[in-house]
Amino acid sequence: MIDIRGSAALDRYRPRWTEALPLIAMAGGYVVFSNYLVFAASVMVMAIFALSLDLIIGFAGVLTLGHAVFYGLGAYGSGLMALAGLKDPIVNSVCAALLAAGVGFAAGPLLLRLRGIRLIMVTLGLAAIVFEAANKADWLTGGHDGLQNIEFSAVLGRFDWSLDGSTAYVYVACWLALAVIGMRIVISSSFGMALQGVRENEARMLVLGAPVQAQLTLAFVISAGLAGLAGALATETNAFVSLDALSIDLSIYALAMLALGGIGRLYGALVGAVVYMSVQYFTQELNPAYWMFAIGALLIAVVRFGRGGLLGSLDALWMRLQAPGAAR
Amino acid sequence: MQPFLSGVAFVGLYGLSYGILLFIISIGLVITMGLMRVMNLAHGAFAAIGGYATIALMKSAGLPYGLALACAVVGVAALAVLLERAVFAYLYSASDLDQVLMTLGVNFVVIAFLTLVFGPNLYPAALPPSLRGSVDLGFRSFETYRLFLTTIGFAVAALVYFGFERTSFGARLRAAVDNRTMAQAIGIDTGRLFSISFAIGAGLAALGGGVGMGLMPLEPFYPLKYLVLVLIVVSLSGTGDVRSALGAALFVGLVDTAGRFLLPEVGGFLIYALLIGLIVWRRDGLFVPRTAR
Amino acid sequence: MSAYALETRGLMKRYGGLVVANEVSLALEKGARHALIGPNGAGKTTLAGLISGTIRPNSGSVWLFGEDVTRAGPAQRTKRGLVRSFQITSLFAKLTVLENLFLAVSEQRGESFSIATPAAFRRETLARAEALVTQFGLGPVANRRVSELAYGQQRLIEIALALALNPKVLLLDEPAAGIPSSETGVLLDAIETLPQEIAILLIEHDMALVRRLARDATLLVQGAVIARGTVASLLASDVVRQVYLGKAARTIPAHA
Repeated sequence: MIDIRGSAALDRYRPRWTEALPLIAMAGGYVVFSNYLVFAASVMVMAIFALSLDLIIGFAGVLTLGHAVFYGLGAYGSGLMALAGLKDPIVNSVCAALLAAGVGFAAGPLLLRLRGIRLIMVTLGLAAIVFEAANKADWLTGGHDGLQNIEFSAVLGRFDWSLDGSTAYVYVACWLALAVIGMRIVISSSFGMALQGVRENEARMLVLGAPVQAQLTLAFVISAGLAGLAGALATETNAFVSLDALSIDLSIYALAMLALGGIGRLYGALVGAVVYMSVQYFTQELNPAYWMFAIGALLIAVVRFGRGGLLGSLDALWMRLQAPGAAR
Repeated sequence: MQPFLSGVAFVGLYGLSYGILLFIISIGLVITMGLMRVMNLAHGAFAAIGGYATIALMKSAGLPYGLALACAVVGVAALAVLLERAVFAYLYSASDLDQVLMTLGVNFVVIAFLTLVFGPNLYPAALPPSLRGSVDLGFRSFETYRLFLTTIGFAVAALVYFGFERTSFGARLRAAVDNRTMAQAIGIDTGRLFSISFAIGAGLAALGGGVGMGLMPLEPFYPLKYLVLVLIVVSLSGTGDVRSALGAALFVGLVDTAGRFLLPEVGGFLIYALLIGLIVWRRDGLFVPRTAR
Repeated sequence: MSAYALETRGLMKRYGGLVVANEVSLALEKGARHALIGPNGAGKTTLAGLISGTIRPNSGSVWLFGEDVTRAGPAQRTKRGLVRSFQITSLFAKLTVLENLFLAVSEQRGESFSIATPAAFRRETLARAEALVTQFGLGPVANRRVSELAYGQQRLIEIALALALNPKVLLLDEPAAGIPSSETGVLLDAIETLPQEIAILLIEHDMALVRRLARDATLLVQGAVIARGTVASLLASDVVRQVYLGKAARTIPAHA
C-alpha cells in the first residue's frame, strides 16, 4: 500500500503561506510606487476585472467576449447611484456588484445553454447592443461625454479622496485583497474543482450526475459580481465613467492580460494585469496603433508557443531546473 | 398603395443587396467552420484588406476600379494561403479558447497595420463615376450603386452555388464538411481542400469588401465592427453549406433593412436582439430541420 | 416484486428502417457477473446506451431494483446506482489522477456546491479518493496529470472513476479496449476484485476476458438475444461457434 497522504495530496487545494506574498506586495506597493498611486489604483481595478474573467473563462471554460457589460453595469450603476445620493463608497460598490451579479443571474441560464461559436457570437452581439443602447440613452449615461464629476463621500466616513491617490490606492487594495482571497477560496473548493471538471469534460461531468448548468450559473454570477465591483471601483477612483467601460475592446484587452499572465491561474490574472497596464502606461506616448500591434502579436505568440503565459513559462523553467534530464 | 409598394420595393432591393453582400463576405467563414471547425474571428480582415487594397491600387497605380478590385481579390487570396501556413494550420487541433485568442490577435495586427497605413478614420469610398447617381425604374428610383451591387452579388453567389453544388471540387468539399474522417478514408485530401477553399473564401471576402465599400464603409476597425454581423450569418447557417448560408445572409440583410426602415431609431439593434434570440432558440441553425432525438 | 438489480424488458431501438435493438430482455441479480457478447456491430454499445439512459428506446423498459427508470436520464440513473464506464476513455485530461477521482467522489457525495471548505480538508471525500488510488495501484502517479499517463493506466482510472460513484450496478464497456493483452493484468485483477455485491454487466467481445471475468453471458447478434446461459455452456455450444465463425475455432478451445 502506498501512502500518498501528506503535503502532496491535493496540494493546490489547501491554503499555503506563500499566498500572503501578493498581499504583502500590495502593501509594499504603497511605499514603492508613491508617485504613481493613481495609476497603481487603476492597475488594481483592472486586476479585479481580470480575476473575474479568469474565473469564467479560465476555470469554468465558458468562452464569453462580452464580460465588459458587467464591468460597465457596475461602473454606470455606481455613478448613477452616487448622483442619486448613495455616496458612501463601500455601500455603493456593494450595490453595484449586486446589480451586476443580478443581471448575471438573469442572463446566465439563457446564455449558458450555448457553447462555442454561438456563445461567442451571442455575447459579442449582446455587448454591442448594450453599448449602442447606452450610447443612445445619453439622458441617462451622458452618451459620449459620460458622467462627470461624480462625488463620493469619504471612505469609512474618515478618509477623504485625495488628489495624490493615497486613499484610492489603499481603498482599492483592500478590495483587491478581498477579491483575491475570495477567488482563492472558490477555486480551492470542491466547487472550484468541479468547474475545472466541466471545462475539461462537460459530458463526463453530466454522466457523473453533476448539476453542470447550476454550477456554471453560480460561477457566472460570482464572475459578474466581481466584474461589476471592478467597474464601480473605477468610477469611484476616477469620479467619472464613460462608454469605454462598456466597450468590447475592454473585454478583449482583459483577455490579453490573462493570456499574458497565464489563463486559468489565479495569479496569472494579477501578473498579467500588472505587466500589461505597466507596459502600456510607459509606452503611451507612442501611437496607440503600435500598442494594438504589440498586443495582437502577443496573443498570436502565446497561442503559437503555448507556454501558458508568463507564469506558465516560469513553471516550465522551474521544472527544467529542478530535474534536468532526470527520468521519472 | 403607391408608397407601400414603393416601401416594399425599397426594403426588398436594399435588403437583398445588403444580404448578398453579407453572403459573399461570410461564405468563406461558413465553409472554414464547417470543414475545419476553426473559429476564425479574423475573417472580416480579408474583406477590409480587400477594400483598402482596391482603393490603394486605384490611387497609387491609377488602375480602374474593376482591375483594382480583381488584383485585390487575387492578392488577398494569396495572402490567405500564406496566412494559412503560418498561423491557421496551427489552429486545427487547438482548443476554442486558443482559436479565439489567436484570431483576435490577427485582428489586432491587421487593424493596427491599417491604422498606420491609412489613418484611423473612415476612408471615403472611391467609387467610379459610372456607379454614382441613380436609376429610375418607374415606380421608384434606386442608386446605381445598389443595382450594381445586387447584380454583381447575385452573379458571384450563383457562381459559388454552382461551384459548390455542381462541380467535383464542390462535391468533395461537401463530403468533407459532412464527415471529414469518412472523406479522408475514401481518399479525399482534406488538407489541400481546405487550403484551396480557405483561399477562395478569403478572396470572396475581399471582393465583398471592395464591392461593398459604399454600404460598409472602410475603417481600420472594420474586421471587429462587422464581426458580429458575420457571426450572426454563420450561426444561422447551421450546417456549413452554401444554400443555408445564402438563406441566412439574405434573411439577415432583409430583416436588418426592414428594421431600420420601419423603426429608424431602434431598428438597428432590434435586429441584433431578434437575431440573437433566434440563435438561442434555434441552436442548430435557421434552415436546418430539427432532428428527432 | 423483482429481485433483480438490473432488468430490461423488450427494449427496442430503431434508426429509420434499421433495428439496432430487437426486443432485448435481460435480468441481472445482485452480485451478477454477466457478459454481453456478440460480434462487432451487434448492437452492444447501443444497448449500453439504452441501459445507461443516453439513448431513448422506441419501446420497452429498464428497471433498477424494481423501479422503472426508462424515463430517467443518465444523471438520475447514476444517482440510483447504475454507473457506466466508457469504451473510449473520457477523463478530465488536465487534472491529476487524484483530482479525477476526488471529483467523482465529491459529486457522488453531493458536494457539488461546497465552496467554503478547501477541497483538501474534505477528509472523507479525500480518504475515499485516496483509497481508490491505492486500490488500483495508482499511488506513484496520483499527482500526475491524466493526459500524461499511459493508455493502460487511463483505462484503470476509467474504471476507478465508475467505482467512485458507489455503483450498485456497473456497466463496463470493453474495459480493456486498446490495451495489448500483455498489459491487461492489472486491469483484470482490479475487475476481479470488485465488491461482490455489485452487479456487473460486462460488454466484451474478447472471449478470453469473458471466460475469466464472467459467470453468465448473453449473446447478442444484430440487436437480438440469440442465446443465454453460463459462460461455460455458451462457449461450448454450437451457436456461439457459428456466430464467431473461424475465430471461435481458434480462441475457444472445446473442453468439458
